[in-house]
Amino acid sequence: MKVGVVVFPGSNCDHDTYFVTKTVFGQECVFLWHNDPALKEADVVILPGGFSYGDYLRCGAIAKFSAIMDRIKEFAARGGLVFGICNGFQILQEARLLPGVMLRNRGLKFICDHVYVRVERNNLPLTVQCQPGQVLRLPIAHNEGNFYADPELLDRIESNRQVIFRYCKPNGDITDAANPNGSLHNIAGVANGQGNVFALMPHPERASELALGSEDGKHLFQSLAYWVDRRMAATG
Amino acid sequence: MEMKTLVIVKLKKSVLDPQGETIRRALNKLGYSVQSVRQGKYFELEFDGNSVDPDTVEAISRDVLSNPIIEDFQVQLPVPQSTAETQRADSPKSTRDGKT
Repeated sequence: MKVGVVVFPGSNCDHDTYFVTKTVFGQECVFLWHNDPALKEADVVILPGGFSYGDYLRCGAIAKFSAIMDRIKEFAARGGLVFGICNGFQILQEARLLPGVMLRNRGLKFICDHVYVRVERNNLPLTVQCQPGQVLRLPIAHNEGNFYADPELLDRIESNRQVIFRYCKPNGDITDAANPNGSLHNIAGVANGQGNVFALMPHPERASELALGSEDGKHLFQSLAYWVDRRMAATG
Repeated sequence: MEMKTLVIVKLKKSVLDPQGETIRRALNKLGYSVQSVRQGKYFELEFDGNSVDPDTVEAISRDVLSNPIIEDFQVQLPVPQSTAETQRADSPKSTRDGKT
Protein backbone atom coordinates (compact mmCIF):
# COMPACT_ATOMS: atom_id res chain seq x y z
CA MET A 1 0.00 0.00 0.00
CA LYS A 2 1.25 3.45 -0.87
CA VAL A 3 -0.14 6.22 1.31
CA GLY A 4 -0.04 9.92 0.47
CA VAL A 5 -0.31 12.27 3.46
CA VAL A 6 -1.50 15.72 2.47
CA VAL A 7 0.30 18.64 4.11
CA PHE A 8 -1.64 21.90 4.33
CA PRO A 9 -0.21 25.00 5.99
CA GLY A 10 -1.17 24.35 9.61
CA SER A 11 -1.43 20.55 9.42
CA ASN A 12 0.22 19.16 12.56
CA CYS A 13 -0.52 15.43 12.57
CA ASP A 14 1.08 14.86 9.17
CA HIS A 15 4.35 13.53 10.59
CA ASP A 16 2.58 11.29 13.12
CA THR A 17 0.53 9.80 10.31
CA TYR A 18 3.63 9.37 8.14
CA PHE A 19 5.54 7.73 11.01
CA VAL A 20 2.77 5.30 11.85
CA THR A 21 2.18 4.32 8.24
CA LYS A 22 5.85 3.91 7.41
CA THR A 23 7.61 2.87 10.59
CA VAL A 24 4.93 1.12 12.62
CA PHE A 25 3.19 -0.65 9.73
CA GLY A 26 6.00 -0.78 7.17
CA GLN A 27 3.97 0.71 4.34
CA GLU A 28 5.20 3.04 1.63
CA CYS A 29 4.35 6.66 2.45
CA VAL A 30 4.89 10.05 0.80
CA PHE A 31 3.96 13.60 1.70
CA LEU A 32 1.70 15.50 -0.71
CA TRP A 33 2.01 19.30 -0.56
CA HIS A 34 -1.29 21.20 -0.86
CA ASN A 35 -0.12 22.74 -4.13
CA ASP A 36 1.08 19.48 -5.66
CA PRO A 37 -0.41 18.87 -9.10
CA ALA A 38 -0.63 15.09 -8.66
CA LEU A 39 -1.15 12.43 -6.01
CA LYS A 40 2.12 10.52 -6.68
CA GLU A 41 0.21 7.30 -7.40
CA ALA A 42 -0.92 6.87 -3.82
CA ASP A 43 -3.43 4.08 -3.16
CA VAL A 44 -4.79 5.92 -0.14
CA VAL A 45 -4.79 9.69 0.41
CA ILE A 46 -4.91 10.75 4.07
CA LEU A 47 -5.91 14.25 5.13
CA PRO A 48 -4.31 14.55 8.57
CA GLY A 49 -5.30 16.46 11.66
CA GLY A 50 -4.24 19.97 12.54
CA PHE A 51 -5.36 23.51 11.98
CA SER A 52 -5.18 24.02 8.22
CA TYR A 53 -4.98 27.76 7.48
CA GLY A 54 -5.34 28.45 11.20
CA ASP A 55 -8.99 27.30 11.13
CA TYR A 56 -9.71 30.78 9.76
CA LEU A 57 -13.25 31.46 8.52
CA ARG A 58 -14.40 27.89 9.37
CA CYS A 59 -12.40 24.71 9.97
CA GLY A 60 -11.36 23.41 6.55
CA ALA A 61 -13.02 26.25 4.66
CA ILE A 62 -9.80 27.58 3.08
CA ALA A 63 -8.09 24.21 2.62
CA LYS A 64 -10.91 23.00 0.41
CA PHE A 65 -9.75 25.46 -2.27
CA SER A 66 -6.18 24.05 -2.37
CA ALA A 67 -4.98 22.84 -5.76
CA ILE A 68 -4.60 19.29 -4.48
CA MET A 69 -8.28 19.14 -3.51
CA ASP A 70 -9.26 19.10 -7.21
CA ARG A 71 -7.02 16.05 -7.69
CA ILE A 72 -8.50 14.44 -4.57
CA LYS A 73 -12.04 15.00 -5.87
CA GLU A 74 -11.14 13.35 -9.18
CA PHE A 75 -9.41 10.51 -7.32
CA ALA A 76 -12.48 9.98 -5.11
CA ALA A 77 -14.81 10.06 -8.13
CA ARG A 78 -12.75 7.22 -9.66
CA GLY A 79 -13.18 5.19 -6.48
CA GLY A 80 -9.86 6.15 -4.86
CA LEU A 81 -9.60 5.77 -1.09
CA VAL A 82 -9.60 9.06 0.84
CA PHE A 83 -9.29 9.07 4.62
CA GLY A 84 -9.73 12.15 6.82
CA ILE A 85 -8.64 12.45 10.44
CA CYS A 86 -9.99 15.28 12.62
CA ASN A 87 -9.23 18.46 10.62
CA GLY A 88 -9.07 16.20 7.56
CA PHE A 89 -12.69 15.24 8.34
CA GLN A 90 -13.69 18.91 8.50
CA ILE A 91 -11.95 19.61 5.16
CA LEU A 92 -13.77 16.70 3.48
CA GLN A 93 -17.08 18.02 4.79
CA GLU A 94 -16.35 21.54 3.55
CA ALA A 95 -15.40 20.05 0.17
CA ARG A 96 -18.75 18.18 0.16
CA LEU A 97 -17.01 14.83 -0.12
CA LEU A 98 -18.56 13.84 3.21
CA PRO A 99 -21.93 14.87 4.67
CA GLY A 100 -22.64 17.21 7.56
CA VAL A 101 -20.61 19.84 9.33
CA MET A 102 -18.79 20.14 12.65
CA LEU A 103 -20.14 22.73 15.08
CA ARG A 104 -18.36 23.95 18.20
CA ASN A 105 -18.35 21.30 20.92
CA ARG A 106 -21.50 21.55 22.99
CA GLY A 107 -19.50 22.38 26.13
CA LEU A 108 -17.58 25.11 24.25
CA LYS A 109 -14.27 23.58 25.35
CA PHE A 110 -11.43 22.13 23.36
CA ILE A 111 -11.49 18.47 24.38
CA CYS A 112 -8.29 16.46 24.68
CA ASP A 113 -9.17 13.04 26.03
CA HIS A 114 -9.44 9.34 25.36
CA VAL A 115 -12.88 8.18 24.24
CA TYR A 116 -14.51 4.94 23.13
CA VAL A 117 -16.08 4.47 19.73
CA ARG A 118 -18.09 1.53 18.44
CA VAL A 119 -17.48 0.18 14.94
CA GLU A 120 -20.85 0.34 13.17
CA ARG A 121 -19.67 -1.09 9.84
CA ASN A 122 -16.80 -3.47 9.24
CA ASN A 123 -17.25 -3.86 5.49
CA LEU A 124 -15.41 -0.68 4.55
CA PRO A 125 -11.74 -0.33 3.55
CA LEU A 126 -11.14 1.48 6.86
CA THR A 127 -12.71 -1.16 9.12
CA VAL A 128 -12.48 -4.46 7.30
CA GLN A 129 -10.10 -5.83 9.95
CA CYS A 130 -12.41 -4.83 12.84
CA GLN A 131 -15.03 -7.02 14.45
CA PRO A 132 -18.69 -5.98 14.16
CA GLY A 133 -19.51 -3.75 17.12
CA GLN A 134 -15.88 -3.68 18.25
CA VAL A 135 -15.11 -0.90 20.73
CA LEU A 136 -11.94 1.12 20.11
CA ARG A 137 -10.25 3.38 22.63
CA LEU A 138 -8.90 6.41 20.78
CA PRO A 139 -7.81 9.95 21.66
CA ILE A 140 -9.71 13.04 20.54
CA ALA A 141 -8.37 16.60 20.39
CA HIS A 142 -10.78 19.09 18.89
CA ASN A 143 -12.85 22.19 19.44
CA GLU A 144 -15.27 21.66 16.53
CA GLY A 145 -16.27 17.99 16.56
CA ASN A 146 -19.99 18.34 17.17
CA PHE A 147 -21.42 16.53 14.14
CA TYR A 148 -24.46 18.27 12.72
CA ALA A 149 -26.77 17.57 9.80
CA ASP A 150 -30.36 18.70 9.34
CA PRO A 151 -33.01 16.01 10.07
CA GLU A 152 -33.45 15.10 6.41
CA LEU A 153 -29.71 14.65 5.78
CA LEU A 154 -29.30 12.79 9.07
CA ASP A 155 -32.05 10.35 8.02
CA ARG A 156 -30.30 9.81 4.71
CA ILE A 157 -26.93 9.18 6.39
CA GLU A 158 -28.51 6.65 8.73
CA SER A 159 -30.62 4.84 6.14
CA ASN A 160 -27.60 4.59 3.78
CA ARG A 161 -25.61 3.18 6.71
CA GLN A 162 -22.92 5.82 6.31
CA VAL A 163 -22.10 6.00 10.03
CA ILE A 164 -18.88 4.09 10.71
CA PHE A 165 -18.17 5.02 14.35
CA ARG A 166 -20.27 6.23 17.27
CA TYR A 167 -19.06 7.51 20.65
CA CYS A 168 -19.96 4.89 23.26
CA LYS A 169 -19.33 3.62 26.77
CA PRO A 170 -16.47 1.14 27.25
CA ASN A 171 -19.03 -1.68 26.93
CA GLY A 172 -20.29 -0.34 23.59
CA ASP A 173 -23.53 1.27 24.81
CA ILE A 174 -24.42 4.44 22.93
CA THR A 175 -25.41 6.99 25.57
CA ASP A 176 -25.49 10.75 25.86
CA ALA A 177 -22.99 10.59 28.73
CA ALA A 178 -20.52 8.88 26.38
CA ASN A 179 -20.93 11.66 23.82
CA PRO A 180 -18.04 14.09 24.40
CA ASN A 181 -19.05 16.92 22.10
CA GLY A 182 -22.79 16.81 21.39
CA SER A 183 -22.57 15.06 18.02
CA LEU A 184 -25.98 14.07 16.67
CA HIS A 185 -26.58 10.33 17.06
CA ASN A 186 -23.13 10.14 18.76
CA ILE A 187 -21.55 10.20 15.29
CA ALA A 188 -17.73 10.07 15.40
CA GLY A 189 -17.05 8.91 11.84
CA VAL A 190 -18.88 8.66 8.52
CA ALA A 191 -18.34 7.46 4.97
CA ASN A 192 -19.70 8.74 1.67
CA GLY A 193 -22.42 6.79 -0.11
CA GLN A 194 -19.92 4.79 -2.16
CA GLY A 195 -17.80 3.88 0.86
CA ASN A 196 -14.46 5.04 -0.56
CA VAL A 197 -14.24 8.37 1.31
CA PHE A 198 -14.36 8.19 5.10
CA ALA A 199 -13.24 10.07 8.18
CA LEU A 200 -13.36 10.19 11.95
CA MET A 201 -12.68 12.82 14.60
CA PRO A 202 -10.56 10.62 16.93
CA HIS A 203 -6.87 10.13 16.11
CA PRO A 204 -5.95 6.51 15.27
CA GLU A 205 -2.41 7.63 14.40
CA ARG A 206 -1.93 8.65 18.05
CA ALA A 207 -3.06 5.23 19.25
CA SER A 208 -1.13 2.71 17.21
CA GLU A 209 1.61 1.85 19.71
CA LEU A 210 1.20 0.55 23.26
CA ALA A 211 3.72 3.10 24.51
CA LEU A 212 1.11 5.76 23.73
CA GLY A 213 -1.59 4.15 25.85
CA SER A 214 -3.62 2.38 23.17
CA GLU A 215 -2.96 0.56 19.94
CA ASP A 216 -6.58 0.28 18.86
CA GLY A 217 -5.86 2.67 15.99
CA LYS A 218 -3.78 0.00 14.31
CA HIS A 219 -6.93 -1.83 13.21
CA LEU A 220 -7.74 1.03 10.86
CA PHE A 221 -4.30 1.22 9.23
CA GLN A 222 -4.17 -2.58 8.97
CA SER A 223 -7.64 -2.57 7.39
CA LEU A 224 -6.51 -0.11 4.72
CA ALA A 225 -3.38 -2.14 3.95
CA TYR A 226 -5.39 -5.38 3.83
CA TRP A 227 -8.00 -3.86 1.51
CA VAL A 228 -5.42 -2.40 -0.89
CA ASP A 229 -3.35 -5.61 -0.97
CA ARG A 230 -6.45 -7.70 -1.63
CA ARG A 231 -7.53 -5.35 -4.43
CA MET A 232 -4.05 -5.53 -5.97
CA ALA A 233 -4.10 -9.32 -5.78
CA ALA A 234 -7.54 -9.36 -7.42
CA THR A 235 -6.48 -7.14 -10.33
CA GLY A 236 -3.11 -8.86 -10.73
CA MET B 1 -14.90 57.42 -1.19
CA GLU B 2 -15.88 54.30 0.63
CA MET B 3 -17.47 51.45 -1.29
CA LYS B 4 -17.78 48.68 1.24
CA THR B 5 -19.99 45.70 0.62
CA LEU B 6 -21.19 44.14 3.85
CA VAL B 7 -21.94 40.47 4.31
CA ILE B 8 -23.48 39.13 7.50
CA VAL B 9 -23.35 35.39 8.07
CA LYS B 10 -25.69 33.91 10.68
CA LEU B 11 -26.35 30.43 11.94
CA LYS B 12 -29.68 29.12 10.67
CA LYS B 13 -32.52 29.36 13.17
CA SER B 14 -32.67 25.57 13.44
CA VAL B 15 -28.99 25.31 14.47
CA LEU B 16 -28.12 25.54 18.15
CA ASP B 17 -25.68 28.37 18.92
CA PRO B 18 -23.83 27.43 22.12
CA GLN B 19 -21.74 30.62 21.99
CA GLY B 20 -24.80 32.85 21.76
CA GLU B 21 -26.41 30.84 24.55
CA THR B 22 -23.38 31.36 26.80
CA ILE B 23 -23.41 35.09 26.10
CA ARG B 24 -27.14 35.22 26.93
CA ARG B 25 -26.55 33.48 30.27
CA ALA B 26 -23.75 35.92 31.10
CA LEU B 27 -25.99 38.89 30.24
CA ASN B 28 -28.80 37.48 32.40
CA LYS B 29 -26.34 37.08 35.25
CA LEU B 30 -25.45 40.77 34.88
CA GLY B 31 -29.12 41.64 35.26
CA TYR B 32 -29.96 42.26 31.59
CA SER B 33 -33.24 40.61 30.65
CA VAL B 34 -32.06 39.42 27.24
CA GLN B 35 -34.12 36.50 25.95
CA SER B 36 -31.89 35.26 23.16
CA VAL B 37 -28.47 35.95 21.66
CA ARG B 38 -27.31 34.62 18.29
CA GLN B 39 -23.69 35.17 17.32
CA GLY B 40 -22.67 35.66 13.70
CA LYS B 41 -19.91 36.92 11.43
CA TYR B 42 -19.55 40.22 9.63
CA PHE B 43 -17.43 40.83 6.53
CA GLU B 44 -16.51 44.06 4.74
CA LEU B 45 -15.53 43.60 1.11
CA GLU B 46 -13.92 46.23 -1.10
CA PHE B 47 -13.67 45.67 -4.85
CA ASP B 48 -11.55 47.31 -7.53
CA GLY B 49 -13.39 49.99 -9.46
CA ASN B 50 -16.63 51.76 -8.73
CA SER B 51 -19.23 49.12 -9.34
CA VAL B 52 -20.08 46.00 -7.43
CA ASP B 53 -21.61 43.02 -9.18
CA PRO B 54 -24.37 41.62 -6.94
CA ASP B 55 -24.03 38.15 -8.46
CA THR B 56 -20.34 38.07 -7.59
CA VAL B 57 -21.07 39.04 -4.01
CA GLU B 58 -23.79 36.41 -3.88
CA ALA B 59 -21.37 33.74 -5.16
CA ILE B 60 -18.63 34.74 -2.69
CA SER B 61 -21.10 34.70 0.20
CA ARG B 62 -22.62 31.37 -0.77
CA ASP B 63 -19.46 29.45 -1.75
CA VAL B 64 -16.83 30.86 0.59
CA LEU B 65 -18.05 33.04 3.43
CA SER B 66 -20.87 30.75 4.57
CA ASN B 67 -21.57 27.05 4.82
CA PRO B 68 -25.14 26.61 3.57
CA ILE B 69 -25.64 23.52 5.72
CA ILE B 70 -25.69 25.63 8.87
CA GLU B 71 -25.56 29.28 7.85
CA ASP B 72 -27.59 31.96 6.04
CA PHE B 73 -26.18 35.23 4.80
CA GLN B 74 -27.33 38.77 4.11
CA VAL B 75 -25.66 41.12 1.66
CA GLN B 76 -25.69 44.87 1.94
CA LEU B 77 -24.42 46.50 -1.25
CA PRO B 78 -22.80 49.92 -1.09
CA VAL B 79 -24.93 52.89 -2.12
CA PRO B 80 -23.27 54.77 -5.03
CA GLN B 81 -21.91 58.13 -3.85
CA SER B 82 -23.91 60.25 -6.32
CA THR B 83 -27.25 58.95 -5.12
CA ALA B 84 -26.27 58.35 -1.53
CA GLU B 85 -27.70 61.63 -0.20
CA THR B 86 -31.12 61.24 -1.77
CA GLN B 87 -31.38 57.53 -0.95
CA ARG B 88 -30.33 57.94 2.62
CA ALA B 89 -33.19 60.35 3.16
CA ASP B 90 -36.03 58.10 2.16
CA SER B 91 -34.97 54.44 2.34
CA PRO B 92 -32.57 52.24 4.24
CA LYS B 93 -29.79 50.52 2.31
CA SER B 94 -30.98 47.48 0.46
CA THR B 95 -30.69 44.17 2.23
CA ARG B 96 -30.82 40.86 0.44
CA ASP B 97 -31.44 37.59 2.09
CA GLY B 98 -29.30 34.78 0.84
CA LYS B 99 -31.46 31.93 -0.38
CA THR B 100 -29.34 28.85 -0.53
